[in-house]
Amino acid sequence: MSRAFVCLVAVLTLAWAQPSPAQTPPSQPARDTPAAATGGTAVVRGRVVEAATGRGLSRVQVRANTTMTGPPPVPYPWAAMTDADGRYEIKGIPAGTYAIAATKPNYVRSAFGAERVEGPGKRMTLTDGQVLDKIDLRLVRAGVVTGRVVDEFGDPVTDVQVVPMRYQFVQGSRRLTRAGRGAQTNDIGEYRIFGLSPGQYYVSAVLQNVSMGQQDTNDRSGYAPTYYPGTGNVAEAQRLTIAQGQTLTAVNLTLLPTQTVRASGIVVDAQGRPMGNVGVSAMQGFSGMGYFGGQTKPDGTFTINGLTPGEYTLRANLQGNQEQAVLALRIDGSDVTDLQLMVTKPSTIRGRVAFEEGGTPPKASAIRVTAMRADSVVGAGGGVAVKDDLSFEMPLPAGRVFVRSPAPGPNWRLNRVLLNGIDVTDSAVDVPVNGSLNDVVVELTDHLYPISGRVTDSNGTLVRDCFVIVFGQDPAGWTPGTRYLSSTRPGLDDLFHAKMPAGAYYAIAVTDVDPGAWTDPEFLTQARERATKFSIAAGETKTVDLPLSPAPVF
Amino acid sequence: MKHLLAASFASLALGASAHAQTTFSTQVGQLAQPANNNSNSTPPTPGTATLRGHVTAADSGQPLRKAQVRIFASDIRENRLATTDADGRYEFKEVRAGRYTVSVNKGSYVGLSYGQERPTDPPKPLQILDNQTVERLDFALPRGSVITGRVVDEFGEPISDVQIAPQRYQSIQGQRRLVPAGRQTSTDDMGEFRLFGIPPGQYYLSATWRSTNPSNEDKTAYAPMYFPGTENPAQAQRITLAVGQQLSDIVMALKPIRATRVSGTVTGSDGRPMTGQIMVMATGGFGFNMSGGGAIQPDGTFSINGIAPGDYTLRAQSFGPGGPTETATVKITATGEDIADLRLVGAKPSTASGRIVLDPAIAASLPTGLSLMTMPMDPGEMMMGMQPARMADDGSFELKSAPGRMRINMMGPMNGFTVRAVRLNGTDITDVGLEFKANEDISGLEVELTNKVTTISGLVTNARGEAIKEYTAIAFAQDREKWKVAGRYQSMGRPDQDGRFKIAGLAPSDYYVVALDKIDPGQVTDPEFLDAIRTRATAITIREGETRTVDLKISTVP
Repeated sequence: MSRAFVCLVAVLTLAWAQPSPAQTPPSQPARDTPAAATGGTAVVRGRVVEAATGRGLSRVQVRANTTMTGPPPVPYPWAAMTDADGRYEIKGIPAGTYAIAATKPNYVRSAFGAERVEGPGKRMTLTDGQVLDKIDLRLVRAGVVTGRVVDEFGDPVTDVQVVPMRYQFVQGSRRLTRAGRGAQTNDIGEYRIFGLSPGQYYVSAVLQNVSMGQQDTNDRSGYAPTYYPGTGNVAEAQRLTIAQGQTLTAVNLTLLPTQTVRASGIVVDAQGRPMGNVGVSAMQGFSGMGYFGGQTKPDGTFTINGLTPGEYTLRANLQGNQEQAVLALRIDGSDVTDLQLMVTKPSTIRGRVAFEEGGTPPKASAIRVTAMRADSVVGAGGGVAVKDDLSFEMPLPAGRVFVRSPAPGPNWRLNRVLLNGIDVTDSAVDVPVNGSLNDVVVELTDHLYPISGRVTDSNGTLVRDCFVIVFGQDPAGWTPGTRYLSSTRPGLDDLFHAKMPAGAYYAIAVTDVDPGAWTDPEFLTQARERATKFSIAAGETKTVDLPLSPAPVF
Repeated sequence: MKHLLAASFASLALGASAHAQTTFSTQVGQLAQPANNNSNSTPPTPGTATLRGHVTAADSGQPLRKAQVRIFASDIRENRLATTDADGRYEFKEVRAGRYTVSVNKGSYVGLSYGQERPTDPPKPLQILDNQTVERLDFALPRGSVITGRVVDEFGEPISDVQIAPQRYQSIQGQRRLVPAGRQTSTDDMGEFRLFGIPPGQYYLSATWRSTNPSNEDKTAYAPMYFPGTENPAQAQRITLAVGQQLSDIVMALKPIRATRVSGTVTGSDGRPMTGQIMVMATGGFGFNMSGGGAIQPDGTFSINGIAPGDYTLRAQSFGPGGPTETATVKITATGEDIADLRLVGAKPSTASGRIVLDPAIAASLPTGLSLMTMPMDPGEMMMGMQPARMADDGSFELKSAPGRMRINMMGPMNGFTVRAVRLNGTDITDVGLEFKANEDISGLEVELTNKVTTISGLVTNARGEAIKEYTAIAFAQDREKWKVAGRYQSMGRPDQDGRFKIAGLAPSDYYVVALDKIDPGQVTDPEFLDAIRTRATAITIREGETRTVDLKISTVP
């Protein structure tokens, strides 16, 4: 029997709730602004072929990507589609530096002159009137996984969701999460997952009985989420490596029969009175696989059937109303009873944005305050725009969150978060049920100091195609959305650039790293073993040259 | 888009889901007292009937294991599920007496309900009595038909993510339209598709392309196409599928047309740039028909490419906790020319406040746990941004609605109640609905419920005067104007084991009642059809709370 805490909901704000590259503060210094979209006279042309066959590929989008910073113009003027023979011509390009890249659905993106798959392209300088010919590209088909799903009798199973998965760092833990689109089995149990980038994957199969959760049944049969080749245990799942252009066939799975369990309890209002006819849903946490629903009876009780082991987020939904209850729930092998979901209004974080003394502060309209979950409730972050007087009021479900503010521009960044005058930047705050935190100060700073350097390999050769990660030496600062972490890549000048607060740092250069993986403390722990240590003081400009490191075993 | 869909499905599911059977007692220490003490809160006693049978494959006669059998009785809110064992057997015990529909589904087989001869027939009710044991309620499921094929572009290259749907003609609000029937699928990276589980019948196959990347620069879109290669449904080729038939290697080549790019800005009602999502939906279709969309940029601008020619509704919405906070819509016609500088201004949803009251002539207490929401009067209108509101214990409610002419739809456990009238500040608007205007609130809405429900029932005989058990009875208002009002003046009934039909809950009025040998889905709301059969119908008048018995002679559908 488990009893769980109760909290409320905001809207689905997964984007804020998960660390992503977009949340690491911008580190590229502004160089130029995009050129005017008109008036160019340079031309780039060439042909795009399929790597495996050498035949021309039609309807490939080829773009001359400007290396200048700032938002790209929309619609993007320096792009063209290939014809039936794979030929393209991009006209009217202003003088400047560009990289040429080709995209087509179900092919791996390819850039001209790239040193590896999905790597950045060679930068090319175009002068007015120049015609650059024979900029030919080869596209490799994206990865494909096919197979068949059968039940314990060997019969094909229809409507099984088969999903490619990868480990990702989400809300404080490394979790196997969906990575790309899945597929559904057909009448003969077959599936085909396509459009996969090269990399390492796990494949899982889930038979979702949509109607089961809502209906009264004594049937406890079901299937556990099954990982290829046929295990319910993530640790025993077999990792599949998909090389570029590879099709893995016969990735066959046999679903694992399991006893399903029930979760039951009661939904009450803020006064503790039972609430009848309220929708209750259980959503399987981070895998994004599995949704179960039910409804409370007139006496407020509910039962959800058909649950298989895993992490769930339980919600009681008052339709069309802001009042909700949310609860994180872990299901192992046995029924869960006596859950209590208290439906209340959203809690609130109130406060204001302040600026550390410095240059011209950004406009209020450019500033947002967000909340990132520090607990395992899925889809319950928060985010609001700051009012003109720099105050904010953010409704969100109760629970543990980090308060953050995405960098409003290249020169300003979150400095610290104060609750009643106490620094809570790297310690999450507890938002009370049916209550509020009222004195939160989100302080932004422009006291950022430039760090730059070059990366060389073991032969001393300059490396342009790599990732540089700069992170604080103190692991206490490795919190989601931390200001002591930056990821960047060498720019046109062959140097990487980052801007950091004064402090002690590590920096490491690696060839490749999964997007967002650098926010994972486990990655940083491994990375610091081979990283370069340095400090930067206020007002200082630092040059840090880095050796290219092998990627951490991760 | 995702959670909008989820929200509206949830509300649809509300009416159909129930937990009547499980007896479950909970002790929660700090709870003071239950909110309501009416009879609803005591769980119903278990029933005494038993229901069992077999599920087999129609072609081989082999038992089907793991088939799902569902029994559902809306009036007593019974909804149960059983799964067949290795011998295809299923059993329901402790079933309460009631009028049930029984339906069976298994993977790629065609699902069937009790009383269906064809999968398009309306199911028949199964009357179950106390202490009754219903044996041999067996189902032989036909194997679904399969269509496989491939979709290519003008160069013969495969196109992925093209939506493939079997469609059939159905009469909707009097118009014969092609509507998707059954499962749909989409093409894979080889351009291939496999449609399965299709009931036997006549179909038209459609292929609908939509841009997978609305931010790209491709000026080519593809028009929706019907097999073998026409945009005009009238020229589409009919495909006849026999039971379990497999039709292979259908090839459809999509025709390129010039795509439209739509761009502009969205401003909130506070004058600041609005952030959120923008969606492009084809108009004129039924249900959701997303053709593109994307995020609105922080500066309020948006740009969506890849829209095929046609009429669309653009809908921008910002999100807050609890749903969309502001919305803005605009209708556009895409012709291949870009549409730039669209300016959308967000508006907050209108609020309608009011109260649910009881018919003063009855002695009962208000059902608890009811919700209500607005629905467009025109069923072809997009159902978006509508949110159900919960009734408070005293019957009051505060409802949010998108702009437009709306009717009020009740949701939740009606427990034998029905809407008697909807009034706005004293004026009866039950059948005409009410107009919501952007940024304007409405107060003084009153929804009156009654448990005095009308019932029409009867038996049907053939030309020789013999009682028959295979027919569909329909009742529809004599006043043609009332045919436009959804759900109140038309209904149908099917015979139970005794051959008796029962139609409950029609609004009191003058009706025609007729028994027909065959009816296609949708004909009940087709004015032309109703006009054609009214001459053979029996005219009756039914008053509030009245139960009428009308015995009918079977008519052959013209």
